[in-house]
Amino acid sequence: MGPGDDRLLERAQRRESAALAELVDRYAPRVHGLIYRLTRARDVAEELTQETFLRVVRTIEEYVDDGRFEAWLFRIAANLARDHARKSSRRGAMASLEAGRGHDGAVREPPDGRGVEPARILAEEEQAERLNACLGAMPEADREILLLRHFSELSFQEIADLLEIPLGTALARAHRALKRLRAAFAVETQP
Amino acid sequence: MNHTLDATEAALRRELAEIGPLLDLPASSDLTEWVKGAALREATLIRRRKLRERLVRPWIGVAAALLLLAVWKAPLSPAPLAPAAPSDPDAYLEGWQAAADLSGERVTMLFDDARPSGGVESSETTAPEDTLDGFEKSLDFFEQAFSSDTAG
Repeated sequence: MGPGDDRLLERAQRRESAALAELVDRYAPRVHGLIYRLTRARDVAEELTQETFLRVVRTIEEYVDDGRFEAWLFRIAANLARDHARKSSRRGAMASLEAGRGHDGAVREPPDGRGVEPARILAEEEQAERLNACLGAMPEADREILLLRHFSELSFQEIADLLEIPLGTALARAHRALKRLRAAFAVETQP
Repeated sequence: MNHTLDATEAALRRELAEIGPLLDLPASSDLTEWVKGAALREATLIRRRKLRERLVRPWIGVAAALLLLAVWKAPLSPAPLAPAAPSDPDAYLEGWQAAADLSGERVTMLFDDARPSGGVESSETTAPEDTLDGFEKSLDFFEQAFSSDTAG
């Protein structure tokens, strides 16, 4: 957060509507991106994004402003996604079955729903599927670090602290995850 | 060792900056509005609950004090006014009625004595919920006025 954001957090801690709305505007897309890529299920990602912000509203008084609001926020989101993955694996649920439905329960249109460039949309869908397959094939711990780094913009040290692992381990996992991602797309994009 | 970690981290940052955009999702304003609505509703509920707690908390103390006072005063009551040996049932009933009236007056006096003077006036026709809402609105108004003063 920027230097002028202390006041925003103070106001959010008093649960002022405007301040909370600004936090949602600022962080909801990235929180959703992280959870969606972690769970690979659209409706789950939407529910958990909402739950993340509900928890922020409920517990923001407990947040001690040490300039690491993003770490605090993304820790909540990552923990929710992790809990969901744990429950899903216990239930044996398949995340892919849940994909394609929105928060209102309705089946979603393809990305953006524009439908004017079928070739491009098809390419985007193929790429999204390939990405999902690649992320799904990664060990959860590797995937988590890669996604946290991308969406939360925390430093690797902050991510290592958040996950309570040594920095070297975090870097090694990120390296493995990136290598897989690059390999998956390099192979597929070859003529 | 630190140098190696720094170099690895820098390389990873560069690599992620190149390939990371693959992970991005198109922003959905519907989703943001949906989340915002839920968050603001939750905030309103929490604010209301806290306000109720703030309003009710002092009165719990008063009620407890009144109860203690009533218990403490009870043994100091004079002897019963009813005849000791009722020969006539009507006289016995009248005596009991008088005792009940006196007791009622004493309880009223106790409440009057214990009630803080200059407190919030309450109307019998106003539901407690309405009173709370009105009070909350006035606080919201004050908060808004205060925010605009400090912002300007």
